[in-house]
Amino acid sequence: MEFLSYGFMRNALLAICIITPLFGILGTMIVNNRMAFFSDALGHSALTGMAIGVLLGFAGTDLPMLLFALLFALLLNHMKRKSSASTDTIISVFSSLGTAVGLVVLSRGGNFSKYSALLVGDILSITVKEILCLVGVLTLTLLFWLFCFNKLHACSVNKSLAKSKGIPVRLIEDLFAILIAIIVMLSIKWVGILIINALLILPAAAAANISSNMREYHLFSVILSVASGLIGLVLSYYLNAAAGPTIVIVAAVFFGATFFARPLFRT
Amino acid sequence: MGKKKALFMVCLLAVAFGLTALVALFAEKKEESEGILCVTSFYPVQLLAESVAEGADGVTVRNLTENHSGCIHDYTLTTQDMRLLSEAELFLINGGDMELFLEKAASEYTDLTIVDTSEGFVFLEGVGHAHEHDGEEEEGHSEECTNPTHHHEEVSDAHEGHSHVLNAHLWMEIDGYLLQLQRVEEAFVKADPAQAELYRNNARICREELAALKEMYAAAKKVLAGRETVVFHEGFVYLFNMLGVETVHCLAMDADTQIAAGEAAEIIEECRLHGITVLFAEEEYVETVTDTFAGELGGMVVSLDPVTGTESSGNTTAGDEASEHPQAGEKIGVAQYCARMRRNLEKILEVYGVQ
Repeated sequence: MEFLSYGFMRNALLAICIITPLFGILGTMIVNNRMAFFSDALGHSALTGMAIGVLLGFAGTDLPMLLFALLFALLLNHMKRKSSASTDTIISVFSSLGTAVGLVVLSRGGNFSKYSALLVGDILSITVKEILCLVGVLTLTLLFWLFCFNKLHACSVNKSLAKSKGIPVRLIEDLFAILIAIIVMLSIKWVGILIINALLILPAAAAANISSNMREYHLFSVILSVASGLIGLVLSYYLNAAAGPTIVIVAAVFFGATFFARPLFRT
Repeated sequence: MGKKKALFMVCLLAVAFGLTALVALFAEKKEESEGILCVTSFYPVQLLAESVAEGADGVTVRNLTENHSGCIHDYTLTTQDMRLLSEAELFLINGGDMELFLEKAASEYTDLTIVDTSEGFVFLEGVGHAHEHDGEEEEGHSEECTNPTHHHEEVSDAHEGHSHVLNAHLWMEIDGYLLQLQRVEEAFVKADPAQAELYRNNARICREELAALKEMYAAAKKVLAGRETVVFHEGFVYLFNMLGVETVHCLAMDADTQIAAGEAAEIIEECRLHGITVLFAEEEYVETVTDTFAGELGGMVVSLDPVTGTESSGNTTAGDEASEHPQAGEKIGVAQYCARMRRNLEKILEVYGVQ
């Protein structure tokens, strides 16, 4: 427990204890609704949000990143509904554009190195104020989960059926997209663009390997997400490795273990 | 939930946490050091600290970015770095926005004395600013590259909106390095007054070495002044300023840089306009710059050493004498800086055909 003698590790541990259950819950909903690629595209749009902030001379880039991500998420949902092209194609177009615009603006004059920290994130520099902000987001996610999960699940199973049951499909989908946008943007500085999606998807995917009902699915996802976060953070401290990628490696090992254990639980 | 699944989850987590505990058990233990632990942010500052603190009792100098070659604009703190900073009393940084990774971390270490070794230095503007003025006359570029138009504090204030970029490579100008030496000396004297005399004496020796180097550059200036060049490292702008060579264009190359087609064309046009056929780049980017420009210009690209890391970490220049290389465990200091800056000068004189 030597690592707890450092303030930055205590803060990082607290942040992990908030972010990982958040990702565990959100991941199940994202995997259920086949939106893994959607959250990845949102992560990439952070570059453009940051670029807009730099161009407009914002002192901090958090607000423009968040506002752009909200707009990006709603526009993407709208295009998905209106376009005849497949969802994968639409998301791919948005994802590529989000990355390219950001890179063009941020790499002007060879200055991209100033922003490249966003690619891998840095959980060790998180402050108490930012941890409190994450607590607010966790509360928001839990409320959404409590009040909207069944409706969202119904939408993911069959939209027409959900509509016939009086569920406002469009509103639920947009609310979910907004929630993903908020969480991705508020946590991207800590976990990085390159790995945020892995943290969202891996625990849920690992849980799906061995779950036979929704309750198990959510419980396993949260447990595996928290365990990956804690183990990854401690290992990164002792092995002097970057925290985010170490957490992803641990989550991937859990995925592998559950994948190969699947035959044991077939009934 | 079936018993089988519960048992599987318990076993999986037990194995995972058990292995982590084993790693923690066998990993390095916390260093308990007595005396003053001085941490430097990167190589040029480390050389100064090592020289000034040489022979001091109970003073340990550690460098934060030991395994990082090149400048540290994009450096991210590791857990080991954070531990090192938590245990340090004195943290010597380059300043000029070089240590962007410190923006947030610094506030977490209230007991740590952070010394900006470039305090009071008049920085040049970095190339990022130059490219916000599309359509300017070409003379404008040379002004932006070489004119010291801002004092450190003024630009730092304006920097919040990211509209200005500082050229933080002041150690490439010997006067800049002398100022950093003074700041390092003052920091050690203040932190450890009992050994003040030793620090002052060490600093005096360094000052003499740097003064001799400065004389060499001043002599070279007499034969090189008035020439023009294009460089691919911001530090070289300071170096050529000392020699009276005007940098008409500077492109800061790093691992993330791709030379934009428009900028390449602009550089080629400027080189043709000024009759420039010799370009200067850091060793690891010589090939990239040669591929893009040398053929077009019928000229050559020469590697110079920005002294941003040990010579084994990517700054080695061909033809270096083995005797000047510090071996593993050997003391490093200002002497290495002087040797490497001398080699830079020899190369420049050779390429311009001046003895």
